[in-house]
Amino acid sequence: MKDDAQLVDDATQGDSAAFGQLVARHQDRLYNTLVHVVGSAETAQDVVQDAFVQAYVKLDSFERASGFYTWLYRIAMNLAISKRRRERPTVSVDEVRETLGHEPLDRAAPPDARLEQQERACQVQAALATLSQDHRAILILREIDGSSYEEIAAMLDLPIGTIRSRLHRARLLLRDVLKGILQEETK
Amino acid sequence: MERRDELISAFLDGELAPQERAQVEKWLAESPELRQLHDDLSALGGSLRSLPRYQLDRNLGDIVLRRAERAVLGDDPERPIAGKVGPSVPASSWWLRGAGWRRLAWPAVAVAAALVIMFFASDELPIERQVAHAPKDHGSIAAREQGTAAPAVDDSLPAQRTDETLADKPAVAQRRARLEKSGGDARMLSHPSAGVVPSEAPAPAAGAPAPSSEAVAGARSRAKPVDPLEGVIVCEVTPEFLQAGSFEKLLESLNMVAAVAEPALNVAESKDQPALAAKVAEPSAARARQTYVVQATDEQMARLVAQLRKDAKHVKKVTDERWSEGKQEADRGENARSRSYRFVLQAPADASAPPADSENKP
Repeated sequence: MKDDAQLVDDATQGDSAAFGQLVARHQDRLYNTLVHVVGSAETAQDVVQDAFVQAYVKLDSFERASGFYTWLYRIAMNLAISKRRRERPTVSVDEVRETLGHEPLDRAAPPDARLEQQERACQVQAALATLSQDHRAILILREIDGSSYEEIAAMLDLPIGTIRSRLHRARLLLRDVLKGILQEETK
Repeated sequence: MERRDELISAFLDGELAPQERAQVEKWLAESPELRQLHDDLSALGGSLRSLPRYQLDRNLGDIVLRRAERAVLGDDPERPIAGKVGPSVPASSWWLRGAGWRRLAWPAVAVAAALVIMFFASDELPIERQVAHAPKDHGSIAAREQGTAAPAVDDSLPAQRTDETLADKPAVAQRRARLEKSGGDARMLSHPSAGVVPSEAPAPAAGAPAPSSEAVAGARSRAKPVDPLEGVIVCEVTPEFLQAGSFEKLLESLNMVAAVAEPALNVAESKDQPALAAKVAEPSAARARQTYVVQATDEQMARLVAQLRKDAKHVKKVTDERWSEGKQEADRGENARSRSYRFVLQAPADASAPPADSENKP
């Protein structure tokens, strides 16, 4: 199986099927990240498609200083930011819940591990929605995408020291917001 | 203390150098607060990692490549179709591998070439045809040209290619030279993959009424290159449907017009109709197929296809092979853009023969 660099080389030589393989390889990873970062499955789907199109059109300009996915992610985030600026300034917590399809907890139902997990997921997503996109993105990249500090630094074009401090700050913010949500829901 | 906290985060992520790691382990052993922070952040990470994972329900490869192809062609009108596409793609690879693109591109090229040949060869020169959406009130066109009515905005059509973008192509230069020699308008040039959209009516045949100056001016202002075909809609219809010109009537009722890909056009005779409007030759019982190139927005297409499907008595089957990204663009509110579609109406030549398929495809 060819790695990304080989597929990029093939695509720039005219093998569009090679680019198709890149799409198949990375579309779900990019989509999953974007859904959590932008808080909208529909927006994420649009951005994923637009990002791949832009990557294909500009493939000649890819300098290979970073990996293909890193470059693709930067394209996607720029598109997501532009899209958000055009559409709406913030994503509401309710919209996140509605978009990501979680059902509200039925408090009359008996406690159940699955329900508790769903509830927790709702709470976490609601808390994420209150963070800035920068903080949300860095948390998603680390915890959900599993990227290393070095990879995140490349994707966000930031020094590793900044990644470390921003990630820690994002975690503290999320912890505090979650505490507040838990306190509200136990009233 | 803040730096210690930050190192706890990095410790959890396994991103510390060995010396830093050893230091943090010592702090954790000594400080309940730091241990609490460690536990909180660890639980937080677990919660984030437990969030549902989302994935797309289809492979985007084909859509991406088609869109990228159009983006490349649209962004650079100088780029020849047979030349480089996207990242230095040789013409053969992408064009020959694209599943639906080649099927549509070559028939469109053949139609366009045939029409250009007809123009140069025929004594009865066809006047300009409107292949874009035209208002039903043709009188308003003249009014707009005289500045007495609000201008019709049709920003769904692509910007007209200027002579400058095509002038350096040898084939185009030859066509221009022939036009200039015959006294025609050298702007009557077409993109090889698009429908023919001449910009001015050449001299009509002797005996035929000359188009009005308003109509010609209106035609010139509206003549724009059409987009490459975005889909093919094949309809199995009854011979009566073809004979009665029902498709043309349906288009007219929806405020749409179309260019007939076959047979040749006739000069419009009515002064009330713009010179660009196509007058379709009367279909005959012998003709089993009629093909149209329709330029329409997604909304117009939806109405047109719905109306066709409603007429179950005369339209037996509608096979809609439009590309899905048009629908996606419509969902994103980008449905104002007009695209070109090929409608193929097929009927048995013998009226007594049963239709090919009596099932309407949803």
